[in-house]
Formats: sequence, structure tokens, C-alpha cells
Amino acid sequence: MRQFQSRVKENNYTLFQKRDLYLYTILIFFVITAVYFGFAFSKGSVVEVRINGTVQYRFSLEEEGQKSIQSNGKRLMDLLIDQGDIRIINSQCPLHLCERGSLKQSGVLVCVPQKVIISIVRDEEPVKDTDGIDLITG
Amino acid sequence: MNIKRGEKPFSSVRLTYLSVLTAVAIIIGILETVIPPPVPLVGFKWGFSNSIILMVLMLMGQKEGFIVATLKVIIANLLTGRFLGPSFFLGLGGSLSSVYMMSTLMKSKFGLIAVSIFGSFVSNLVQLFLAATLFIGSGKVFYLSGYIIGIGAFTGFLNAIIAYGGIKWMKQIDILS
Repeated sequence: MRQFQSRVKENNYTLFQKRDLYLYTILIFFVITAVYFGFAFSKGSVVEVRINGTVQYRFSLEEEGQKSIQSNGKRLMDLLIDQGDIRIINSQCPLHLCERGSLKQSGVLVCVPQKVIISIVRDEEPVKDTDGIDLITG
Repeated sequence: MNIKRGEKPFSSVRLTYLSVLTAVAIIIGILETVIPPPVPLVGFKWGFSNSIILMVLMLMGQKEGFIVATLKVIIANLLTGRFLGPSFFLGLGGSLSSVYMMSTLMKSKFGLIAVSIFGSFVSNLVQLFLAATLFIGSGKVFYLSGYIIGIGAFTGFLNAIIAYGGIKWMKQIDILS
């Protein structure tokens, strides 16, 4: 008990220290690189939908309207493409967090429970790892 | 941890503090599931319960920090019905790594704000890594990292102020003596 009290009284934690600058530098460097790469890689006109790591759908950003995303015969969600932006609607996941953002805001749309990630890629990017899965291009 | 030989590792005062702080952390954790999260990604929350973990680290030490963080994640996820779901694993990995990082930085006498911000930074990176490897299977979630870390820095800053002010207030009203 006394030990605890003395520890509490002795602790003189400060909000700032000079050496914090090292940490802030690392952090700012990381954020700038991340933002730069995020922007650099998410330019293009092709939408790529990966389910569980493999590319399952690809379509152009210019086609407006709704797209249904299915996996193993089960409907996972719908995509709403509108004026070069994409939103997820009618998701079958429990929390519907993925419906909150749009692709333009965040560069990538993720639905963790359904293992779906939607991103924009360049036209010429070759399609890889499609082993055994039908690729639907539209 | 400065426990003298012969003294029990958990005196009743320490135990009480630990329980109350854990309870507050759990309550904040549950309230946060009601507030819309800043990032549309499962498992990412504002992270204000980290201020309580900071207080625990200031008052006690690394071991207690791990206890509070683990209990907070398990109980808050049990109560919100997300136990063993994706957000549970992301939350557990994130908070344990941030406790480790923050206690290490605290020992090296960094300022509280930097400790808190860096804790959230590490927690976010671990969560993104777990999401990428366990659930998404694609490194593209890291596109979100700049955005997530920016928000994490903001709450990390607020958390440091809250923890600092909280301890100061506790000393003022004399419940710590």
C-alpha cells in the first residue's frame, strides 16, 4: 500500500520532452510516405474487387449503376457506382461499417467480415492469381 | 514495478484501482461502439479507452497495463456480441502491442503526448497488419494507413491530456494519498 502511494506521488510524468521530437519525426515521415503511396497507387479507371485475396471482379469506373458482388453463389453486397465514386450498399455483414465511406474518400473500401477489398487500379495492370475462379470483366 | 520483497504484489488499494480503471475502460470501450467510428473498417474505433490504460501505466506498470487491456478487450467484446469476431482479434492485437510500446517509451522518459500518440500509431499498424494477413489477404488496406494514423494521432493527443489531467485531479482531491 505504501509502495503504491509513493509510486503515485513520485511519478512526475510530463506532457512534453525534448526527445519526443525523434518520435514525431518518425511519425510524420511515415504518414507522408503512406499518404503519398496511397494516392500514387489508387489512380486509374478500373475497379478491382478482391475477395479473400484473389481478384474476382473488375469493371470500369465509367459504368454507372449497381453491381452485385457474389462469392460461392452467396450475395455479399452491392456496389453503387455513381459519378466516378463507389459506395457499398446492401451489405450482408452484421455491422455495415463498410457502407459508411466512399472510395474517393479513403482510396480503398474494405469489408473485414466478408474479406472483401475494393480498390482502383490502372488499366494496363495484368490480372494475376485467378486460379480456378471465374473472372468477370465488364 | 517497485514492489519490495515480502510485500504482496496486489494490495487491496492496487486491486481496487485496477478494478475501477478496468471498469471505466470497458465502459468507454462499449460507448465507442455506439459512436460512429472515424474509419469505415471493422475493429477501428476512436480509442479513447486508451487514456485509461495510460493512467494505469502511469500509476502502476506494464503488467497491470496488460491486464487492463486484455480484460477490456475481452469483456467489451463479450458485452457487445463481437467476441471472437474480426474486431476482437484486431482489438486485442492492437491494444497489447500499444501497451507494450507505451510502457517501453515511458520507461525511457518520453513525454506523455508522444507516448500516447506513438502507442496509437503502433496499435494501428498492428491492426492493419492483422487485417491484411488474417482477413483481407491483400496489402491494400495499408492505403488507409495515413488516414488512420492521422486520426490516431489526434485521439492520442487527447488521451494524453485526459490521462495527465485525470491523475492531477486524483491527486488534488486526495484520493491517491
